[in-house]
Amino acid sequence: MRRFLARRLAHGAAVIFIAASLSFLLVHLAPGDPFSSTLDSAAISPSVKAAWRAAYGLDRPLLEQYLRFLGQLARGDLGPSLLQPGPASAALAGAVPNTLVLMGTALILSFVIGIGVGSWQAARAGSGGDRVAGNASLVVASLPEFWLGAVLLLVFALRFRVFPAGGVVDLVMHDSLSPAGRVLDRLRHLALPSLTLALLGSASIARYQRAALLDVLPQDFIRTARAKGVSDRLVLWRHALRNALVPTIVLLGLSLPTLLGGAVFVEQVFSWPGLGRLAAAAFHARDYQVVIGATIMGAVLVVAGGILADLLHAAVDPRVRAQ
Amino acid sequence: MTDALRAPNAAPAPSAAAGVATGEPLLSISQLTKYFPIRRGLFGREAGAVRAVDGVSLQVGRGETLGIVGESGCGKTTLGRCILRLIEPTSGQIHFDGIDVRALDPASMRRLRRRMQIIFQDPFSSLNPRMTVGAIVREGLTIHKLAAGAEADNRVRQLLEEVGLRPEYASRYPHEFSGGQRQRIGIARALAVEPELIVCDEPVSALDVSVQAQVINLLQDLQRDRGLTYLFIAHDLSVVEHIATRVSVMYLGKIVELASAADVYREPVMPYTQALLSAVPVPDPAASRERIVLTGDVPSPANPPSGCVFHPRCPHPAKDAACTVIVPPLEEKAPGHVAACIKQPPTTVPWHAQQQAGATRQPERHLPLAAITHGVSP
Amino acid sequence: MRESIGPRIRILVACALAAAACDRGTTKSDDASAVGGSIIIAMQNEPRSLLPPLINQIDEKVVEDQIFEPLAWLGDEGHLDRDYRPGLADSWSWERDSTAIVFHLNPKARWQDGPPVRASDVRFTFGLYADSVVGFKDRSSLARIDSVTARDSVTAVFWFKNRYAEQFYDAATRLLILPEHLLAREPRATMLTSTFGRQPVGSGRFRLGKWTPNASIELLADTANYHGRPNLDRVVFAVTDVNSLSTRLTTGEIDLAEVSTPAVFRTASAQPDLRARMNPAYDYSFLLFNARQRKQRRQPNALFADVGLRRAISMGLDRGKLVRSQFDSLAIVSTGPMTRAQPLADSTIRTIAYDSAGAARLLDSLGWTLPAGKTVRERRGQPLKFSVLVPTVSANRMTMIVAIQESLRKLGMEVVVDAVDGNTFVGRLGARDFDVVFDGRHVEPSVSGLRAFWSVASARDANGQNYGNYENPRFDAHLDSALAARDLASARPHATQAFETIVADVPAVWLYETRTAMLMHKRIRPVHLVSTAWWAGLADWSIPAAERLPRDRVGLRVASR
Ligand SMILES: Nc1ncnc2c1ncn2[C@@H]1O[C@H](COP(=O)(O)OP(=O)(O)OP(=O)(O)O)[C@@H](O)[C@H]1O
Ligand code: SF4
Ligand SMILES: [Mg+2]
Repeated sequence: MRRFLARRLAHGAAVIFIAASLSFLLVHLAPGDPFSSTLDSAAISPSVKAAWRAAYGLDRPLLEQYLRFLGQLARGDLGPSLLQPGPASAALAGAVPNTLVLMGTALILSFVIGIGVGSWQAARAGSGGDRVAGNASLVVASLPEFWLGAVLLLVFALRFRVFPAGGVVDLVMHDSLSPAGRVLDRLRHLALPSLTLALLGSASIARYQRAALLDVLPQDFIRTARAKGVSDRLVLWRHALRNALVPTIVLLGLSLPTLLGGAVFVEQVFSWPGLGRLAAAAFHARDYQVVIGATIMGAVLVVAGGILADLLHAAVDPRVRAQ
Repeated sequence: MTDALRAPNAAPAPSAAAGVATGEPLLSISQLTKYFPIRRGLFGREAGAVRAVDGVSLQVGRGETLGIVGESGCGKTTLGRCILRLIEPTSGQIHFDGIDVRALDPASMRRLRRRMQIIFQDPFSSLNPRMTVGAIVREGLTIHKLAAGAEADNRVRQLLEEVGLRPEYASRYPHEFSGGQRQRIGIARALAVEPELIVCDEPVSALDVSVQAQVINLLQDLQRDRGLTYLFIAHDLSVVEHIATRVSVMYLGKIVELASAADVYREPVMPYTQALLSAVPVPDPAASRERIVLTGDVPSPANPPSGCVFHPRCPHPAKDAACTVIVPPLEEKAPGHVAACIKQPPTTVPWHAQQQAGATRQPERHLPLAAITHGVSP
Repeated sequence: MRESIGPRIRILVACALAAAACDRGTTKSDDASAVGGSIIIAMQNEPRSLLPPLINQIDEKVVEDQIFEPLAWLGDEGHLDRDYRPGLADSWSWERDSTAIVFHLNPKARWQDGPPVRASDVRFTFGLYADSVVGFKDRSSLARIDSVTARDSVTAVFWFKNRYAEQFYDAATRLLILPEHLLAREPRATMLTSTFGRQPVGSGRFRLGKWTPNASIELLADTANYHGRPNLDRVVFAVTDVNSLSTRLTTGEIDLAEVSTPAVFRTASAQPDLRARMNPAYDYSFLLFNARQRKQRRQPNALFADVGLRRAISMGLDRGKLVRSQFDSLAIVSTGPMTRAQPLADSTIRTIAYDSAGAARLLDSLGWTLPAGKTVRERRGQPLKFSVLVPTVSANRMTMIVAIQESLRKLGMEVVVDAVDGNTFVGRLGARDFDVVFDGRHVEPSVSGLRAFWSVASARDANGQNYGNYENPRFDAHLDSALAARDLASARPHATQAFETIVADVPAVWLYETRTAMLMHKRIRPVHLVSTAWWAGLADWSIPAAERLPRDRVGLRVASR
């Protein structure tokens, strides 16, 4: 297991390196640079822009910039953000926790909902309820993130006013709330964005879970359990689900990339100050270092997801653990 | 109990055993039927049914082993599962120790499961891969509140020993075991709840021939020690021969012959049984017998042939048009020996009735295997 | 969506300022009941820095005007030549020859970190804004200021190279005065990333409380301010996606927002808790023709060097209908390179009226005829086909170009939409690599910016912003006369002639002026809400005690954490 992990980590590091290099290349090759990003910057003379480029080292050959970037990266430093004070890592450090909270909550919610719905469907496979739920999850899965987000926003923030429509905390009240009140405040703000992400994810998880359970339910060991006199509910939860969870749990790690992609849109809709928003704004402004940093964070998440999937697989499946 | 290989011994087969169990039977089923609906299309419309079990009646006495034999797909497993209500029968009655099994509510049914157990055909898929062997064996104990805590652990260890496994194996997972060992685990698991009846659904067909004998020996020892009753399912007669008291032969969901094991082996009456038996190797190398090769495939149980379901493949020389019309009743051909064939005399279907159905050939005894000395001497 | 590149990166050439300087005598709030309250204002783009010379978009200006002060504020009516209100300067006087203005700073003025504000800070500030390497976008507007000197610690003198009408406007309002003691050592080429931009210290009545990147900027009342503390305890600027804006306004999560989308405006203005107010337009958009060949200034453009064709295209577009159907009340038809909010703008000048039959006749007479059985006009076998460069980031332009394409198709022209992303757009515009471009401009009250966009000099300067290569010395002459006039009244006739000249030359089809609506919660009592800068009087806004929400009662806790 340790060797396996070491190999996975090395592989992950390589993936991250490639992602960093690719994003370096792409962002530098994309038209424009940090000082040409908006129309109005036309009012600034080219010589001033040239001076800026020189001051930030953007006038050097790309290869040299790349090598310098690698040198910095080796020291764990992304370099300064070109468009805002402070290092790029500071900008990321502000955004990453918000994204992690959003994705983490969405991940848990999506699995709870997905596994719940999928199991409920599998337990009554072929019934009307199963078909309705199946079609519903098919529809939900194919909805664009921002659309679903907008619908939830309209229903729960505008129509029923149960959840706020944006932000991480109440901008004014938060600091004067009690500790419990602050937690509640955060949860209330987390509700809609995480639910949007979770619903999208849960649709495919439900289908996956249903299929996995249907694979497991006809197997003999389920009959064995029933033959023992185990009640139907216990058969489902203790015997069937435990086995059917394996593919689904593996999905947990693998769903991180999709989730991250969804988060970009959801963060936009709910004004959620996370990695996605940061990356979109940084790319728009060609804030090179922040874009690269965000890409690296994304790659880290994806790699971590893969390793997590393997670890989870090992944790839930004794057959894998043995290897 | 030991793992030592023992030569398969002769079935105990008390000659007194007749076609019908004597005394109050432990298990009695009548006209049991299971149709699996065939669904088609997007909306799962029902389009016909597979007649997996079609009007089966039989009785099993206490301490007896009833063998059920038939080709793959003839409905043996379905029959076994219906008896335990692991699948719900379409119709018919099941009585266990006088209890109307089909009338039980789910909770009582679960309680009854303590007394009726099953050992599955596939030792690989029948054990939950996510549970330790100990947990698998123990679950029955705790569900039925037979033991708990350290006592349950003890019982688990005892049971493992009893089936010839080391007690330490309790903490291992099923995938760490061989097929034979897994089947022993399955047996230990079934035994845990101290059942009276065990449906053994081809418990050895997935195993190596050498291991098969060990497991069968184990089952026999357990039966002797615990006075168990077995419904022993197999797809060839040779396995059943060593363990069964009586044997019933199934074809396309129906029982076509039922008699004491000795009778079935000595003088199979139904042409299908004869064909099955002809495939069983004879232990005596001097003896040889002609292999009856059946032509054609087993028809689909979704669309069984009319009349005698065996007629498309039947090699009986007197087979004629009547066979395609008349459904042969399961009737006594010799004391305690019942079979379903209108061309094997005696038959309760009179000749004129057969003629009306288009018969052209008189029933006549056709016993191609009778002359051959069988391993079990008459 | 506000018309410009980017959802709302509103181009700020020098920023619209007007305003609401406060008459300290009457609004100074010792009245305890007026003090208190927190309002949340939506902003669409987060400032990248709050260092005023690096101004990049309107949201930055709104925040900076609270933290920093100019020497004087534009008056309520937005007149460029009178009614200024005291800012950092208490009073001012003109030198006899009018080539210098003396500003007398308020002697009590202090920076938020303690030291007094000195005339040397003003001198330093001018030096910073005027230093080309810093990158103040509107540096050219300071070109006629020769220097700034400190006569004594509280007297700053602006010296001009010559007299002109907007002298005072340039000196008093363009510069937000900065603390020399905090910025003197900052390297100028990398000012954009100086930490001061994230931790600004000014002399304004609000100071920066907490800046949560990507989310919000909190301003808190500077209780020690020499003008007296503002009424409001707190103003929070919340980065808000345009899609959730109307919801957040409706639910009260946002108290105030500038809205440029008709749909959002309709929904939000129907809310009983919200009050709506239209802002004047400071953006105009147009289809700009390139008079020269793409990227080649020497060659006249094969199609658009011909004023007849330009005129025909303009005649062929029913601009009134195009604008109404897309913007409802949030835009008006543009008349020229100006918006009606500019004091010198003349909306009475003759423009080209919609006349599709006339356009067709004109095209015929130019030789662009429709061959039988064809749908595209031709002249000597060459089809009347051209592409229009459009930035994909502008939803407004992307929508309207489709309608334009359809209108021109009916006239027998084939328009190809060349949609590109923002950066490519900027690059192609600068390289003048287009035949027709759908462009937009942001303007300030002064018309001095016209020179940069439409003068002969700018056309001939490869780095100039006269992208369409429009050249007419008569226009330049009228504009120069207008800008050199001593006051607006004498500038007006020249300005009108300049506009008439350029409109007659049809260098572009003037399409629309977008304006925004301001929506605010009705409990807020704004003052000095003047046309050009609604935010200028923010420090004197109040919320009546009886109407306060929980958020207004939080009080002014010391920002820490
Ligand atoms: N769940 C089911 N749905 C539909 N048809 C079924 C189902 N289970 C079994 N069948 C069909 O019923 C018939 C009998 O199956 P069953 O498993 O009882 O046969 P078997 O005699 O046990 O065969 P084998 O020796 O291969 O185990 C077969 O045709 C099978 O295809
Ligand atoms: S009834 Fe006819 S077909 Fe059936 S077994 Fe007897 S002879 Fe064969
Ligand atoms: Mg079977």
